[in-house]
Amino acid sequence: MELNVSELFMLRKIYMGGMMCPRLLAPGAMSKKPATQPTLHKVIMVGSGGVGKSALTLQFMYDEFVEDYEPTKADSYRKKVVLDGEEVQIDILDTAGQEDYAAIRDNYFRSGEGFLCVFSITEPESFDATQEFREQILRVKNDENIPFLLVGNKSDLGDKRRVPLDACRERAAAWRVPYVETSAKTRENVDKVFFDLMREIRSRKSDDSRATNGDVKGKRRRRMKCAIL
Amino acid sequence: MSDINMEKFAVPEFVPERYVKELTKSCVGGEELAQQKEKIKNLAEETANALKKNVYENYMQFIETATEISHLETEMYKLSHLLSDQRIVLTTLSQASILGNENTLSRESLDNHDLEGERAEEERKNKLTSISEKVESCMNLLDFPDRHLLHEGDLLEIDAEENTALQRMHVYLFNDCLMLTSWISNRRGPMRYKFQTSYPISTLAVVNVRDLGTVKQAFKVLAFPDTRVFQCNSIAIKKDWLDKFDLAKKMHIEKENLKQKKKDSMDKPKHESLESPSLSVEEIPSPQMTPLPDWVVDVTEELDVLIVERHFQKTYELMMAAQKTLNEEEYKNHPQKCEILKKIEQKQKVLTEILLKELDVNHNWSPRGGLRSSRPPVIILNKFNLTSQACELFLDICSHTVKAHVKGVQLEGSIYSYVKQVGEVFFCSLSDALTEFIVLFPKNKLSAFIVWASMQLRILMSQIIKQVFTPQCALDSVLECVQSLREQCTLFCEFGLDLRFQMNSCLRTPIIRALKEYKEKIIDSMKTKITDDKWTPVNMHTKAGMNKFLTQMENLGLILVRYVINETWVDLSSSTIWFVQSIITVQNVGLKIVTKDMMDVVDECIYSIFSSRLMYSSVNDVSYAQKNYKFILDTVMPLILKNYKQEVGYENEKLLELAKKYGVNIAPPKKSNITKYTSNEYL
Ligand SMILES: Nc1nc2c(ncn2[C@@H]2O[C@H](COP(=O)(O)OP(=O)(O)OP(=O)(O)O)[C@@H](O)[C@H]2O)c(=O)[nH]1
Ligand SMILES: [Mg+2]
Repeated sequence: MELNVSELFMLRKIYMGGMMCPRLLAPGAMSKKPATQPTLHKVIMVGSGGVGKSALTLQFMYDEFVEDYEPTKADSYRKKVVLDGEEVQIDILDTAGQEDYAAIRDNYFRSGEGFLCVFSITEPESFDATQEFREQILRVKNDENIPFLLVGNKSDLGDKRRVPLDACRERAAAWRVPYVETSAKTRENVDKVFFDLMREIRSRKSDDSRATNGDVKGKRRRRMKCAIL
Repeated sequence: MSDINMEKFAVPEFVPERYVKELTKSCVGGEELAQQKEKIKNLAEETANALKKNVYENYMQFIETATEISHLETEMYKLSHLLSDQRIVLTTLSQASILGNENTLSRESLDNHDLEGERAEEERKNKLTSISEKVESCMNLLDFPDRHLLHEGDLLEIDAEENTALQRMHVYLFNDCLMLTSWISNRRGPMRYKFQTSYPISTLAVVNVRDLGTVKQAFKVLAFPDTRVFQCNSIAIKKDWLDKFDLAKKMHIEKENLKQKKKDSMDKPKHESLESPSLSVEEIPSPQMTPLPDWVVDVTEELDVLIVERHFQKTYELMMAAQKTLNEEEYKNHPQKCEILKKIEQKQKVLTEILLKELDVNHNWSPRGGLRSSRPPVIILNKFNLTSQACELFLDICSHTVKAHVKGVQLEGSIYSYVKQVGEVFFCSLSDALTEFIVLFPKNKLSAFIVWASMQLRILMSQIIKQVFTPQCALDSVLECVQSLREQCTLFCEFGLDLRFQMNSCLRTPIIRALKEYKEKIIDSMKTKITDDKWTPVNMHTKAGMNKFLTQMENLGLILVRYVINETWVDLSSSTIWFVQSIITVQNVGLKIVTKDMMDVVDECIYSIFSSRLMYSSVNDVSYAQKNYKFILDTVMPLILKNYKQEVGYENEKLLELAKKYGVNIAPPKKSNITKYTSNEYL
C-alpha cells in the first residue's frame, strides 16, 4: 500500500482538528473542572515473583481468580470503594517480583502510602525475601511507621505449607505490623487486607494533619523514662 | 420537487447560492422549507461521519506504518550497539595479543568498520540536531555521547489525582532519558514544542495503567517526586510506548552490567600483574607511575548512583576513601589525580545541596520520619564542616514540629485542661528536640539551642497569654493555668535547661494587668453593692444550700458555723459576703500567681480593696451595717493578715497600718496574739 506523505499529514491534521480536539475539549474533560474526586489511598503490592500479588489484586478488583501465571512488570488499578461509610478511591500498584534495578524500584516504592508485603506460605524463599523488601521500603520512605501489612498468601494450599505460622507471626511482631493469611483463590481475607491497610493509611493521614493527642501520651511515657534516667 | 442527494452537491460547477434560490422557489410554505433544511443537515452529518471514518482508517494505517518504521529503527540501533560492543572486545583482544603480526590484519577490517561507525554517528547527530531545532529551549542533546532516539510521539497528559485532561505533549524517549515537551499553541518559525523537563532512565519507573475508570489506554511514569500520567490514542500506541520503555531499561541495565564486568575483568589482571610482574609482557608506559585503582577512576559515576539511591552515608564514605587514596604518595604526580579530585568536589557540592534540602522544611523534608530522620543528613553535613547550617535547618525542623504538635491540641473542655495539654506537648517537643540535638551537635552549639528554645517559649507564651488572660477567664482559672505551665517548666529543668526566668518574664505584664483589672472591678462595684444592700441576714433557703455555702467559705479559710441562724440563714449581709469572697480571692490568687518582684502589686490590691470598703462603712449608721463592719474589721482583717504572713513569712505592713488606723486591736508583731485571737474566734 502506497501512501503519499503529504497526504498523510493533511489527513492527520484533519483528524486532529476534526475529531481529537473536540473530544479533548469536551466539557467534562477540560473546560469545566469536575467536582474533586474522593480521597485517594495509594497501595503498593510487593513481594517475590509468583507469590500472588496480581492474583490478590485482580480478586479484589474484579472478583476473579487467574490460574495462569504471567509475570507482571508494573500495573496500576483504581477503584472506588466505601471505607467505613466514606467513599474513597484505592490506587493499587502491582509491582514485579523481579525488578532487576534497585534505583527504579525505589521510585515505585516512593509513590506508595501503604504496602502489602506478600509471600507464599508454600515457599520459604519468598518469606525470606520479605526482609529485604521491608528494609528497602523503610529506607525509601524513611518512616518506621509506614502503613504496612505482612500477607501470607495461598492459604488454601495448607497441605503444602512450608512456612510455619509461628515464624510469620514472629516476624510481624518484630516489625510491629499485622500479619494476615489470604487466599486469592478462595477470596479468604482478600478484602480484609486491602481495607485494613486503607484504614491505617487513613489514620496515618489524619495523624499527620493534626499531630494527635494520642501522641502526647506516648511522649509523656517516654519523658518519664527520661526523667528516671 | 427536487430530491436531496449527494450527486447534486458533487458536481464541480455547484454554486450554493443558486441551489438555495432554486430550492426556495420550488418549495411551498415554511414547513416544507424546514423539511428540506432538515434533510440537508442530515446529509451533512452523514458526510462528516463518513469523512471522519475515512480519515481515522487512514490515520490508523499511518500510525501502524510509523510504528513499524520506528520498530525497525530500534532494531537497527540494537544491532549497531551489538556491533560496537563487539568492536570494543576485538580491539581489546588485538591490543592484548602477543602475536604482533596478526594485529595488522584485524586492524584493517576494523578500520572499515570505523567508516560505517562514523556514518552512523553522523546520522545520530543529525537526528538529535533536528529535534533540538523543533523544541524551544531544548536541553543539550549532544552532551551525552551515546544518546539516540528510541521513540517519540504525541500524548495527552492526564491529571494524576483528578483524572482530567491537562495538556497535549510531545514526548521523546532516548536511551538515557525521557524528554517531555508541550505543544506551542500559536507557533511561528521552526519551533513546534517547548521543553518542559527530562527524567533519567536510570531511575524512571513506568507503570501500565490497567484501570483508571474512564481514562483508557494510559500509562504512568514515576520520577520522584513527579508522577505523570499519559493517555494514548490507541492500545497499539500504548503497547508500543511500554515496549520502548522496556527496551530502554534493558539497554541501560545491559550497559551497567557491561561496565561492571569490565571493571571486574580489569581488576583481576592488574592484581595478577602486580603479584608477578616478571610474567607481564605488557610494557608499562611510564614505569614510575602506579596506575589508579579502577574504583577510583569510576568513582564519580558510582557516587552518582549512590546519591540517586539515597545511600548518603555510603556516598560520603566513598568520597572520603577516594580522596584519601588519591592523596597517597604513590599517586602524587598522576595526571588524572587533579581531575578526579575536582569531580569529587563537585559531587560533594551536589550531595551537600541535596542534604540541605532534605533538612529544609520548605523543600524535601517530610514530617513523617520525625526528628530522627534528620540524623543521617546532619551527621554528614557536620563532617563537611557545615555544622552551623545544619544546626539552623535542624532547629527550623524542630520549630516546625513544635508548632505542629501544639496546633494539634484541641480546645475542648476547660481552658485549664487545654493549657495543661499545650504545656505538656510543648515541653515534650522541646525535650525531644534537646535529646536529639545533643546527639547531633557538638557542645559549643548548645547556645544556639538555648536561644532557639527561649524563642519558642516566647512564641508559645504570647499565644497562651492571648487565650488565658481575657476578661471572661476567672482569676482562679488564670492561676490554675499559670501554675500548670510553671510546673511543666520546672519539670523540664531536669533536662538541664532552666527556662523559668524566661517564662516568668513573659507572664509578668499580663499578671500585673490581670490583678489590677480585678482590683478595679471590685472597687468599682463596691459602691453599688453597699448602697443596694438591705442590711439583713441572707437566706440560703435550704440546708443543702447552706452547707454548700459553708464549704465554699471554708475553702477560702473562713469557718462561719457560728453565723448560722435557723439552719438556712447566714447572719451576715450580702455585700459583706461578697466582699469577703473578693478580698480573700485576690490575696490567695495574688500571692500564688506573682513572683517576688511583683509583691508590691498584690499588696496594693489588697490594701486598696480593703480601704475602699472601710471608707464606705464609716458613713453607714444602720445597726446591722455596723455589725457587719465590725465583722470585717475584727474577723476578716486578722484572717487576711494571718494568711498573708503564713504564705510569705513576713507581715503585710501596708495592711497592718490600715488596721491600726481603724483601731483594730493588733499589737505590733505579736504572732502569738494573732494566733490566740484566731483560735478563740474560729476553733
Ligand atoms: N492456589 C493458589 N494459587 C495462587 C494463589 N494466588 C496466586 N496463585 C497462583 O500463583 C501464580 C502466580 O500468581 P501471580 O499473582 O501472577 O504472582 P505475582 O506475585 O503477581 O508474580 P509477579 O508478577 O511475577 O511478581 C498464578 O498461577 C496464580 O494462579 C492462591 O491464593 N492460591
Ligand atoms: Mg504479578
